[in-house]
Amino acid sequence: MRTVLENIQMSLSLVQSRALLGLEAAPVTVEVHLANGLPSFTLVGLADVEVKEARERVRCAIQNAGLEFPTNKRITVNLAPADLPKDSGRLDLPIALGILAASGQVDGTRLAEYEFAGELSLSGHLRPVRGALAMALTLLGAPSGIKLVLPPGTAEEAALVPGVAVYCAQHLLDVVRHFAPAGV
Amino acid sequence: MADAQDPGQNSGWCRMEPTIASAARDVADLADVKGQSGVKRALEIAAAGGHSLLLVGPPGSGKSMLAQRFAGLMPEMSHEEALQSAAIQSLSGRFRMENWGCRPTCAPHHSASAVALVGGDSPPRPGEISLAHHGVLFLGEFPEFSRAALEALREPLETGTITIARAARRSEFPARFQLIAAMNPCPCGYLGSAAHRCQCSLEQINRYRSRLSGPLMDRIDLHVEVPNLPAQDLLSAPAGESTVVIRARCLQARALAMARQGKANQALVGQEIDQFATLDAACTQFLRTAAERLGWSSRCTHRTLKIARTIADLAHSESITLAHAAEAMQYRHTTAPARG
Repeated sequence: MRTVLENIQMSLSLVQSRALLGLEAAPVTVEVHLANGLPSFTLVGLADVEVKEARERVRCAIQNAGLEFPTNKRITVNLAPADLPKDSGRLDLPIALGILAASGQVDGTRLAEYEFAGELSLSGHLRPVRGALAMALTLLGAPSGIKLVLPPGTAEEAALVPGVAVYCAQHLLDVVRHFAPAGV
Repeated sequence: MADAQDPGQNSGWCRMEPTIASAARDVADLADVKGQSGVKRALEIAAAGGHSLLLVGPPGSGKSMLAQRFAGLMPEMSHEEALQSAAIQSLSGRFRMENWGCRPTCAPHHSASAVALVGGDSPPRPGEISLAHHGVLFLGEFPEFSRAALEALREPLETGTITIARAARRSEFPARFQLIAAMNPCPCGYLGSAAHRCQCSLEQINRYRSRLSGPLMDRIDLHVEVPNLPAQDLLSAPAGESTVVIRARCLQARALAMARQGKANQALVGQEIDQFATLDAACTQFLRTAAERLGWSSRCTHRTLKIARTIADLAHSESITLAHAAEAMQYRHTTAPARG
């Protein structure tokens, strides 16, 4: 894994998720860029307090799961669109996956056809989020073959919507293993 | 990495299949409530036509008991309705899998604010009226709610949706709920009771009743008095009709309405009322006289017509007869706002 990390060229990754606005679930793109420079971890994009706190949860979850957190990089996370308010811990999982994809620990290209939501515990386990049905219902309205990856408890809810592919992951490692880059 | 102490070797990732639990639920039975046949009739009409209901009675007469058993009279939720209801519950993290397809009964305490009741906050969150979408909103101690909270109910009661506009965002939540309100006839609660003497002055009673505005009362279809049951009736009366029996009648009436107009009678608007709730000459004359004597608004007259339509449906009658109109009328006049 280390050798792959050293050879990696691409340091930008995109992960899809959704924010809740009433009953609508507006699409959110989590963009992560790893740059050389003074080590830092910045999160921008009209994030509420609980989203800002995701930085600590994501760092601990990645390290405790036995994965590598890029401590020597300047990490910038952008939650686009910038004027859409984002709240709750649902963006923890997409942010963590964005960092892992940007550092080459998961295959970023395969993430494109999935949408993720989930709060992380410090151990890396996924915790339920609210409003999963709103996400699934929005996907139903715009059929595009997008699959949802959700924490246990939340995934059961979303699966009630017929015609939407829903996957349940218990732990950050389950997701990472599923999207592991070829040859690792 | 794969060798690390993995929690649940790959078993953590799985494709979810829809699992819909439809376990038989224990719902409280209307047979528990003894006597009160008049009120049960009103509940039956409310459930059959989707009408809102106000129960007025002394403390301990069984208003809350009746209201909590009301949801059992309503038809099964369709898959679409169940999804909508569950989606709103899920927004506030209240959804439980075992409640799937179960009509919700929301009973907020009377200290609830307007925002708690109709929704709000930024980003907007659904309030109790939206959480009661396709279910029952029970407001006990109706006049004790704050004026702002009660008046906020007016538009959603008509439209079935609530639009929450804040500086940055606006959101729309569905709120097609069935309102069951309960109140005492006066502050001490015993006005008109045979057993207790009412202690309230006329002014106190007027002040208590004037907390409910005319426009709000106008929007509640059925006004019913719940009398206190004498002890011997309570102890010796046989159990009343069970929920199952009453529900069957409600479902038949609802099916008639759906076959005729594709919606519940309460949802009829404008020309549909003239088209589907037709009256013969005697009925028209009767209602016109009643409306003039009692000073009804046009909304009130229309609502009476819709109730009469539901009563006719319950009697499997094609047309509205004088008896149906007369019964509908008596549900409209029991609570005159305030007497002077």
